[in-house]
Parts: sequence; structure tokens; C-alpha cells
Amino acid sequence: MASEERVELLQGTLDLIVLRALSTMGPLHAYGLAARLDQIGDHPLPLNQGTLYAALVRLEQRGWIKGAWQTTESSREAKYYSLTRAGTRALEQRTERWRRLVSFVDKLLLDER
Amino acid sequence: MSGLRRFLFRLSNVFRPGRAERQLAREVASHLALLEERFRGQGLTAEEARVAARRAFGGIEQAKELQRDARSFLWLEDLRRDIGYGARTLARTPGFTAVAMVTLALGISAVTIIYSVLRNVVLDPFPYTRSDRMVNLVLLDGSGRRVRGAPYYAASEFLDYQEQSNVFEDVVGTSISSAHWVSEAGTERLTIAWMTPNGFEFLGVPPLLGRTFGSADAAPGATPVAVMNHRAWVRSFGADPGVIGRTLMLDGSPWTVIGVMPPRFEWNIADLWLPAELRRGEEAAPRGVRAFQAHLRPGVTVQQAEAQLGVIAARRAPEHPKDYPPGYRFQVIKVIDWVVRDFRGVLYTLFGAVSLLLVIACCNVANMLLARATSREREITIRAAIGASRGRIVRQLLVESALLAFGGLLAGCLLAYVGIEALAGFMPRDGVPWETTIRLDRPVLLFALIASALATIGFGLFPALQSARRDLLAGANAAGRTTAGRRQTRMRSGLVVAQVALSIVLLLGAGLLMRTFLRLANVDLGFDPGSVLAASLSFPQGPGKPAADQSNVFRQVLEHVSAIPGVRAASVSNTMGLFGGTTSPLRIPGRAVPPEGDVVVVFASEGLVETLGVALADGRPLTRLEVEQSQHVALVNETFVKKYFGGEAAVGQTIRLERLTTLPVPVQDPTFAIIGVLKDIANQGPRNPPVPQAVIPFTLRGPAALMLMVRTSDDPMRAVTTIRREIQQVNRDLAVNEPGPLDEWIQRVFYARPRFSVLVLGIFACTGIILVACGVYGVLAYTVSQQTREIAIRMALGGERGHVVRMVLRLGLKLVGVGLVIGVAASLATNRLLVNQLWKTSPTDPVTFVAVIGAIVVIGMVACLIPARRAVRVEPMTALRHD
Repeated sequence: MASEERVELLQGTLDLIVLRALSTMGPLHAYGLAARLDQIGDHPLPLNQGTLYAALVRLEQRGWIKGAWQTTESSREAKYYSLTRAGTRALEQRTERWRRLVSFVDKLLLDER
Repeated sequence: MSGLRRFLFRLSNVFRPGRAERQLAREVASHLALLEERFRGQGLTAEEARVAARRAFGGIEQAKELQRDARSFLWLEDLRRDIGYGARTLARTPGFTAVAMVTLALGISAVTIIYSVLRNVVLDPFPYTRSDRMVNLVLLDGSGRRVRGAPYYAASEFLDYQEQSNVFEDVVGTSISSAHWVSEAGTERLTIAWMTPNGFEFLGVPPLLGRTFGSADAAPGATPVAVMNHRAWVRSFGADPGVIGRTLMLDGSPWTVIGVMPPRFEWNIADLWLPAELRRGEEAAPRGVRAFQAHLRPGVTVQQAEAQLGVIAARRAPEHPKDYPPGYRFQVIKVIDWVVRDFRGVLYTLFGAVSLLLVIACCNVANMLLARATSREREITIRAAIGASRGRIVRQLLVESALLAFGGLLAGCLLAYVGIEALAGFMPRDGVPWETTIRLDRPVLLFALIASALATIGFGLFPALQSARRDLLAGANAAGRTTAGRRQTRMRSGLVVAQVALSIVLLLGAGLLMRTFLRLANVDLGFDPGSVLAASLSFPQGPGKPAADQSNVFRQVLEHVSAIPGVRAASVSNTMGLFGGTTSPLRIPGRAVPPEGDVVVVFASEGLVETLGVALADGRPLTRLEVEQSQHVALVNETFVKKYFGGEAAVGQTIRLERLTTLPVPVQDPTFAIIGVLKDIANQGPRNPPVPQAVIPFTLRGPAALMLMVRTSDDPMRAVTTIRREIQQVNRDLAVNEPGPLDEWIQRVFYARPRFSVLVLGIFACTGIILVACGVYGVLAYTVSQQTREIAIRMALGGERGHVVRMVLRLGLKLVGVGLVIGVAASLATNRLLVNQLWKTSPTDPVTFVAVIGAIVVIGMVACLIPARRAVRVEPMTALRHD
């Protein structure tokens, strides 16, 4: 059931994106997260907002983020996700790994030219 | 770490999906609400905002599905749902479910029972470690017969093979003898096994009580110690734990009991195991002559071991020409093959038969499922129409089948448990290791589980595929009204044909065995073994009393026993009944004797003929005086006369029994005068023709154990205590061993195995025939109900009832007929497997074939008639209005 978005996003990058967004923005609900991702960058992610839920539950089960029901400013109920300590560590590791991968691919692409 | 954590979460979500599902719904709703709020903020109307929010969110169900997939194991969750659904579906049709489960239970329990027998008798009967590599070493002569007492070897020979070979991991030397144990309670003969001190290490079984012995216990000067068999412990010591440390007087010397082995430890079937090293120069039996048993090193094959022993033997043979006959060779034989021999064939036959039974059961259930699938067509079509894939539908149906199989498995295990308990009582002892206990243990349960899993595939897969293949359109339009597709009908008929064929095979097998058994049971043994008690009487070994003294003791025993009220006759002889004896070459002065002129000599007291109830054909019986004076007179049987005197009068002739000159106490001139001729009895058992036999006074035998046989006026076992007491009064040293009724012994030795086969195969055949009846009935009942309208129209148009009945019968009998032909043809092949279990019965015995075919036809007719009668009772108008 792999969705096309996930393939375009590269396997596993959505997790990194969500972790990073939560780390910079503090606790967010799924809608807030989606809105935030919409704002970043010149090219918005080709992402259906619903797609986030799979990533959220995955991260929550790993113990990297924690969800809690709170009320929004407009006094609606929403589930806010925040980074756990394990999540912070995971984010560091993943960022590091991502950097290495990017620099490797960059180098490769440069050499090819 | 986080991976494991996630796995556990996903697993837990499978089993309580409700909570996560509600959370998700709430979260999505809140998300949509927030989106809507934003769009409202941008000035859209409520309705527009709602639509826009949905668009921005994307497919809600898709997102949920993705999340479900991530949070849980989808297939597991589906499975859980399928099980719930399947269970509800099955519960709605309790009749169908019960019949299917019982059918499967019958099949599964039957295979499980036989597998348990097979496993515990043939595959893994021993409690010993490494028993799969345990071998016996046997010396064969040029014609493949065992040489000397093989596998027994004298100490120096034994040690040569042990020391010069490297194919064995370890070697144990055991020999069996008996010892008289004298206690306050009386004298008993115990079977003792001399075993090299590594024996218990070799066998790897820890004791139940106390300890086992090691090499220190066999060292010179060590306290003599013994380890006791569990059976002997229960029998002679009432399972008293205080036996540890007790000193037993065995043949006059003290042995201290240091341990009791657990049940099933039956190495050489001894009552006591005593440690004894093998030493060169101590070559006298029993301690110096041992059976050579060893573990092959891992990876060493039987052939490699045989080759190496051959090399060692080639060195030894020139020095000991007498021990190595020309063309000798060593055979290394697995202990299990040594013990089980041809009983294996019986078990494999039964296992084959019983597998057929499971196949029949599966056919039946498959048929029931096919019939059911037709009535569930609408449901399945709808499921397919709303998007269930074929695989999904097949899986759903297979889950239902698995539920049926699981029910069948539970009930089957219960049945198997009961069946195993019952069957254990009929197990023959002959050819079955003593260590065997038939039980429902873990491997057997695992087997049952595998069998039912295979059965699920066997009966479930085909109907499931059939259902899923069904044309969507046809189903939706005409669900419930269509007649079954032609392919399906053919399939169901095919299954019935297969069932009939398989059960014919079973029934014919059982029938032939039954004929054999009845033939055996009807053999006239030639004497009356009822009300005869038999027990062996033995003196302690070693420097005993001279023969004359022993004869006197036996004479006194006979007098005392004969005086007991209720005793009609008593005798001693060296045979159980008249079975066996000492084989002797025969010479007849003035006559040519055929080259294989042997005669079996029975040493007996004068009462033997009367005790056994053997009739005299000519002459007169032995007299007491002749026996007491050891006169050279003999009774011979009719076979003897026929063979050696061509039917002429034998009384008054003289014969020479050459073997008597080589007895431990030789008879100088073995010339005997024939004084009488006995009617033939089946002295080789009911299967074999009698052999020539001669009965002579037991006083010529020299010191030896003899059988005491006593004919009583009622149950012979009631006399045992009195007889024991009388014998104790005559002589305290004389042991009375294993008293039991003669007819029980005959049953055990000659009839146990055929009875076992008949019983098991018979029960299976009956089960098979019940299943066939159900199968034929099921298919026809279904066909008739499908054709109710057609039949009703025929009847309305003036069709005759007889005609309709004939139509249904023809349909059913056609199936039975085809099955019959196939089954009989298959039997002609499979019955050959039975040949060596048959006796005076041809594998194509016409009586059996006619009876079985008749039975199947009758059962088929009955199974057809019920639906046929129902068909003609249909009210035309009701049937047409129906549906």
C-alpha cells in the first residue's frame, strides 16, 4: 500500500521532516504540522494532509513523539504531538545520517559531471 | 529497541483495534474541523469550506487505511476479523458445523492414534539417549543366518572388536541370566543382567530413586551393588522406597540395591542390573559372554562399521576357525530394527489405511462445503461486488475451514486419547519393544496439528477457489435459484466416487484380515487349553542337586499338587503345552529316514496327555513306573507316523533320538520303543502344520527347569496361591515363575497380532463406511433439493413416483458403481501389501470381495433411498410456489 507521495519523498524522509518540524515549532497537531510543511520552501511538498497520520503513529509507537489531547486557541479539541527525549536523540542521529547521505550523493553527482 | 517497542504496539493493536480506531476518527474529525475553520476564515461558505477541507485532506478512508497499516499488522487484523466472522457464520448453521467437525474428528483421531502407535513402536520407542545410533553387532554365516548366540561374544573376542575399532562412540556389553532370590516370602527367580559398568552412562537415563553404578562399583573388592527395574520394584517390593540399601540374597550371595530405574527402562528386560567388567580370560557365560551393543560415531554409516569389523574379523578368523564359518560377515543392525522386525509392516499398512480415512473425511467435508457454497452464492457475490479481491474471499473461506478443522482437531484429540487408552490393551507384545508405551505425547499432538492443517488445505482450498471463481453477474442475478454449475456437480460427484473407492480399499483390507483371523480362530488346536494353569519351576543355578534328586522333587510336587481339591490333573514337561521342545535328529533302525529327519522331543511326566486333553490314536500313554524308572519308551504324534512310517503301525517300533547323547547329562543309548500314538495337535501354533514330535519321560532330561501344568475344575488362577504353598512345602529352593492360564499364553503368542490388525482396520473400515454413507446421502439430498422443481413438475404432469425414485437411485448408484470399480481395481494392487499378514486367504478372496461389494451397494441404496423418498413426497404446488 505504498502511496506515491511516500515514494517521492524518499523512504523515511517524512519521519525526519516531522521530527524536525516538532523540534523547531514545539508541540503541534496534525493540521498545524501540515500547514507548517506547506509554508516551508519554494516547492511545497506534494503531500495530502492525511498522509501524515501514518508517519505520526509510526513515530509515536517508536516512542519518539508523544500525543496528548489539548484545546486549540479556537477552543477546539486536537491531538498535539511533541518530541520526547528519545525523539530528540533520534532526530540528531537521523539528521547526521541524512547529511552524510546528501553529501555522498552530491559528491557523486558532481563527479559524474 | 524502538523497533521492538513498535512491534509490540502493533501487535497489541491487532487485539484491541477499537480504541485506536476511535482515536483516529476523533483526530481526523478535529483535523477537518481546523481546515474548515481556516477556509471559513478565507471567506468561503460553510458548505464550500467543508468541501475544500476534504479536498485538502485527501482521501479520508485512504489516509485511515494507511494509518491502520502503520499502526497494526493489517493481515493479522484481517485474520482476527475473518475468524470472528467465520465463527458467527458457522454458529448460524450448527447442524452443518457439527457434522463437519465430527467427520473431521473421526479422521484426525484415527490418524493420530495410529501415528502414536507408529511413533512409539517404530520411530522412537526407547527412552535411551542417542538411540537412533544404537546398533547390535551380529555375525552371520554364508547363508545369512546368525552364528552362535549372536549378538553374544566371549570376553576376549568382544574386547578385540571394541579395542581395534574406531567406528563406535561407546560400547556396552550385557548378558542375561537368572538368579534365585530367597526371602522370607518365598523363592522367586529374577532375571538379572550383567552389564559393563558404563551401561547407565551409555543409556543416559537417570535413576528414579538412588543412584546408578559406575566403574568404581565393579572394581575388585567393591560392595556388590544392583540397580532395580521399575516393574520388579512394583511387583516384588510394592514400590517401597525403602528398597534402597536393602541387601538381596541372589543365589546365596548378597547384593545391595542402590537404585531404581524409572518405568520404560527395560534394557534387556531384566529385573536387576549388576555391574561386571569384561576381562580377558574370564570367558564363561553368563558374565564372560556379552551382547555387543554400541553407539555409532556421528556420521559413521552402518556400511562403514561393517567394513571395519570385517577387517578385524579377517585377522581373528584364522586363529578361531570354529567361530567363523565360511562366508561369514558382520552385520551392524540398528537396535530398533533388531526388535521391531516385521511388526513395522503391519503398522505401516495401518497407517496407510488410516490416512485414506482422513482423505475420505476431507472429501466429505469438501463436499459439504461445496454444497454450502452454492447456498452462500449471494453473500459471496455481494462481497466480491463491493470490492473484496478473490484472494480475500478465498482467505475468508479458508479461515472458516480452519475453524472447522480446529474444532475437529480438539474433538479428534479427545477421541484419540480415548482410542489410545483402549488400543494399548490390545497391543501385541511380540515385536514391540518393551520400552514402548503408547501415549498422546507432544510430538503426537504436533502431528495431529499438522494433519489438521493439511486437512484444512485438503478440504477447504478447492471449494474456496470454486466459490471465488464464480461469475459475479450470474450470482447476483439468480442467487439461490441456479442449479449448481456443471463443473461443480461433476466435482462433487467425483469426490463421492473417490470416497466409495477409498472405503472399498479399506473394507477389502479389513475383510481379508478378518477372514484370516476367523480362519486362525477356528483352527482346531487338537487339545483343550482352557482351565490349564502353567508355571515354570526352577532350581537355583550353580552346584545344584543331582538329576535324580530334582526328579524326586518334581515327583513330590506332582503328588502334592494333584492332591489339591479342584485339581484334575497335573504334569511337568519342558514345553509350554506341547509347543516347542528339543529338536533332535532321528534314526530308525532298519529304515531310511529323509535327510531333514528331525523330531521335536518333549520330556514329560505321565500326566501330560491327560492334563492337556490330548487324545490317543493308538497304543497306550506313559505310565508312572516308566517315567520314574526313566525307561526308554516314547509316544509319537500322527505326523511322525505319517512322515516316518508312511502310516504303518508305529507302536512297537524303535527309534533313536540322537540329540539325547549330547545333553548336559547324556543318555548313552538313545533307543526308544514307541508305545503309543497321540492325535495331532497344532504344536507350531494355528498358522503352521504340526511337526513330528516324540514324548519321553522327563527323568531323562537331567537337571533343568520344567513347566508345571495343572488342569483345574474352574478358573485356574484361583489355584495359584495353594499351588505355591504346596510347592514351598516340598522344597524351599524351587521357584514358581510367572503362573498364568495356558489359553492366555496361546492368545498372546499366536493371536494377539492378527487380532490387533483386524480390530484396528475393522474399526477404521466401519468409520469409513459411515463416512461414505453420509457422503452419498449428502450429495443426493442436495441434488434432489436442487431439482425439487423439476421433480414437482414431472409429478404434476403425471409422472410416476416409481419413476422419480428410480431416477434418484440411478444417479446415486452410478456414483457408487464407478467408485466400486475403481476401488476394486485399486484393492487388487494394495492388497498385495497385506499378503504376509494373510493366512490361508487369497488377497483376491472372492467371499470377501462379494461381501464387501454387497455391503457397499446396500449402504449406497439406503443412502439414495432417503432423498428419493423425500423427492416423491414433494407436493407439486408447494414446490412450485416455493422461492
